[in-house]
Amino acid sequence: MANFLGEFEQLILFALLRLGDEAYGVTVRDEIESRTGREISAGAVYTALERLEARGFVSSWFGEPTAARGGRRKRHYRIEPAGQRALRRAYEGVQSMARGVRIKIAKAEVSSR
Amino acid sequence: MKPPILPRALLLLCLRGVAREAIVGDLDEGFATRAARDPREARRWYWRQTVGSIGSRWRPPPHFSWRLSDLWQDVRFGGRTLRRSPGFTAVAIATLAIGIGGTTAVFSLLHAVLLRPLPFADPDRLVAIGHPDATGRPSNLGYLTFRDWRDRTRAIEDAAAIRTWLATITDGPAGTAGSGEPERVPAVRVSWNFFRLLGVAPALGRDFRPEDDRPEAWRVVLLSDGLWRRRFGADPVIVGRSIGIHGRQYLVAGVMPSTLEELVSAHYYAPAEIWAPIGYDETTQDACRSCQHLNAIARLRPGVSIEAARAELATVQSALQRQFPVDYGSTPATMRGLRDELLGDIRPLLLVLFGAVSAVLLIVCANIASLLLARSASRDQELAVRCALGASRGRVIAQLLTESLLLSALGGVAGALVAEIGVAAIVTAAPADVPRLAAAGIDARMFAFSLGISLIAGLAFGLAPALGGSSRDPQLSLRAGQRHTADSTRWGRRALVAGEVAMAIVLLAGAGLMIRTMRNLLHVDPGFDSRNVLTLDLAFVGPAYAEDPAVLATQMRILDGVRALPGVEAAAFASQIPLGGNMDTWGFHAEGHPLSGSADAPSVERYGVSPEYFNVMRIPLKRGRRLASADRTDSARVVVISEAAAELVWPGQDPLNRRVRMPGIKGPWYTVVGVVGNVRHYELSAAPTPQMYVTESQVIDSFVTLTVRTTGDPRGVASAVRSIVIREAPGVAPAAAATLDELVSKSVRTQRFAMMLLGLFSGVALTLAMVGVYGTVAYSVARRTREFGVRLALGARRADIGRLVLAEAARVLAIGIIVGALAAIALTRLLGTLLYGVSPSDPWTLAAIVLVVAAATFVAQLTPALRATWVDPTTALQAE
Repeated sequence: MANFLGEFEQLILFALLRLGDEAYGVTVRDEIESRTGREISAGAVYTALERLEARGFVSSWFGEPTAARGGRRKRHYRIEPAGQRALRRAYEGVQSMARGVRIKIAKAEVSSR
Repeated sequence: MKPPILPRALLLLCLRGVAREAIVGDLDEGFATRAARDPREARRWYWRQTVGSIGSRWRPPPHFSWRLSDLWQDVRFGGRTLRRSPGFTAVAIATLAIGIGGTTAVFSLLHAVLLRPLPFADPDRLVAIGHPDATGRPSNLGYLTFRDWRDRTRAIEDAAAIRTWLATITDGPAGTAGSGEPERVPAVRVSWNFFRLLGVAPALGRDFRPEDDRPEAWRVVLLSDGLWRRRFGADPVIVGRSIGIHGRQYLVAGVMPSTLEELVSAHYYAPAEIWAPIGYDETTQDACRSCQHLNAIARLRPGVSIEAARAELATVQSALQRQFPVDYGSTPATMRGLRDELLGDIRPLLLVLFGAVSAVLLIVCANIASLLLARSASRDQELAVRCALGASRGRVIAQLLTESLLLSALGGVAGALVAEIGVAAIVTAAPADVPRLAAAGIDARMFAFSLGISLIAGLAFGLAPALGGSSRDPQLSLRAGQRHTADSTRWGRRALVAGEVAMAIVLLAGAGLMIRTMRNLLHVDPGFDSRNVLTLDLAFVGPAYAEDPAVLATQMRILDGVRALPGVEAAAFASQIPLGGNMDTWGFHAEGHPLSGSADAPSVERYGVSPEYFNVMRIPLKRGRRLASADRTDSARVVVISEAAAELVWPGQDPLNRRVRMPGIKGPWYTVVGVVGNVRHYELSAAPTPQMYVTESQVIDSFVTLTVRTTGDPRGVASAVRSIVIREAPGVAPAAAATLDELVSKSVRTQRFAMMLLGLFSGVALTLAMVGVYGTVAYSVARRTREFGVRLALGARRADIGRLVLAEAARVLAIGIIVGALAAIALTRLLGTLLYGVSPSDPWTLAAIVLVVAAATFVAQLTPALRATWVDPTTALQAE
């Protein structure tokens, strides 16, 4: 359980990797939305991030307040080595499970239409 | 561009800690970006984000061990439990629905009529003033009296007079929607400051001005919103133009707001749709001090108590009595708060209703309590199993709570339905002259109140066994055959049942008294024969009827036409008819009578009738002769008096050929030519007042009632009679026809209404009490099956078992019946003025009611008692 990552958590960790220093609530959400086409709520993003932080997979710090945010500070996130390991394991797991079944998935999608 | 306020507030409210700052900031930033592209979409996005964020972050507080999933589980489980015992559920929901719905409906009506403040500015300073009538309430007064009281009483800040007026709209302004058939409209004439006094202003146009209120200038009107919409198509152009009333032109000054509740005209006459200035001064013919045909309201100065104002008014009137002894004699003045005056009559009826429905609500609570007690006690085992399997005490309580709430919620929904139907039904059935009833709707606060009461009852009694039971050692309950219901529970249930029976007796006693009242009233001889008589009110007003001969000739033509109709026996005009809602008393100055010539001379109800009137009404002749067509305008004036009038003026003497001056001391002489039977003029329950009849041809009236006696159903000739009136008397719009039977029935409508409602409520109460008795006895029998088995096994006879059950129930019932009878004697007094011909503590009614209740409750316990005697000892002892 401790090292298991849910799908949504994986998406968030990938977003942190992609965004590097630019990662905070808005960019994380935008990154996931623009790549997966799913609309996700800010609350859900933070719920997941807080859980990941509690497990030591990410760390966070507050930035400067900005006018566009109504004078509220950004909360920046960075992926930690433990998070990178967990993500790699999870991704490899998915990859190894997915090997050879890609075509079948595609077929299933076609036949279900 | 700012994010929408509401979701933002929700976010700030629901989010905690550092996440709040981060999330709200993120959303603001995201919103700003999106709003630059598409503000609408941005707002929608913000809403979606808010809902999603709050939803994904919601956590119950840590100390809150009871979880949402548990609630759902409890609800579903509760639903299944209720479905499993459909009888219990149906009875409980129906009981709750009756209790909640009934009380909500009645409380709502009570609020709409009695409790709501009068719809006028500073209503506590408004009073009614006038000479006292027989009951001491302010009644009519003359114009000069009104003026002097207003000017001389310092406590009175301002006052307004009001008199009845019948307006027949003959035409509207050219080119507007108002032109059409002539239409009779209830109207009043009022002092110019009438609406100012009440604190109401026209919605359109202007109020009356002092210069409108003069004898030569009063042809100005204000219209009600309803009339304006109905007759004039809500056309604002009408203001400032003239409409025709009785063929004369009246300027429309304005239209009153739709929200106006003009209770004053409704109270004294009929709800007015047209107001005109009264236009009196001291030169007006009817302005004299003894011309008592006006009503008046006044506003007291701030800080003056009504007692002080009344005392001052009395002083003013004493001075007037000394100044004008001929006009006033010993006639006093009085004053009453306007609220009491307008709503006082209906208060006893509504309070009785309130009492009745409160009793029903109490019975409902008792029933629900006893149903829940019985039910949860029989679920000891189930609860014990749940405890044994590890359910916490809190968990069991939560489950019972959910069930109670579920039941109450279902009862509440059904109750809302009952309330909706109840309000509509009562509004329909209530006497038409109950003020402010039409505006009644379900009052949300009343609904919440009734629902709350039943909820509390449900919770209290639903939880009682859980609180006791769940702390108990589950082993005890699980062990076969252990029965240990606390004595307190059993006594509680008995007390509840006794209370129900007592309250049912009180309600039934009230209903019984009202039924006897109705019987007495309907057996009163009104002095006339109300069967097969059609009545139709007509107003001969306007330029065409300015001269008496024209009126008389038109009336004759109408009578000739009506008499020629097939099925018509007789037809006559009358200035007023019994139970028609009119009052017209004349001073009766008999020759040689000690009081003649003074203001204290006897007042006698006057009817101006055509000679055939006695045949139409079948009023019997006692002495002398009736009026005849030979009594004409140019012959000697004659009068026929009633027996009561003869007894009042000439006690023990022969009234025939005596002479009398009317209506005042300066009036012409009339000779008494006959004596006829009394009629009941005001109400069936009031003793006949002194009456007299003069012939229409000698005293012409403009406002008359056409009365027609038919051989068959009088409704059958109604339309033919109307067409004759319309043909022979253009511009005289007849009012809706009514049969005399309808007027009689209308005159007892308050009592009928009380009888109906008390009957309904007492029926419900008795039914509920029977359910309660049945439930208690059935429950006790079920609990004692094993005991009965043992008794039978040891040799008891089955009849002994039955007797045992019945005797135990009988003790409870006897207590209930005794308490109920005592309470009934104390409480039926409240019916007071509603009763007629029967005493509130009538022993026969009470005895009959006690018998009915005893019989009904005996029947209710019979089935479970019989079931007890059918116990099979073998099964009973093996059952566990």
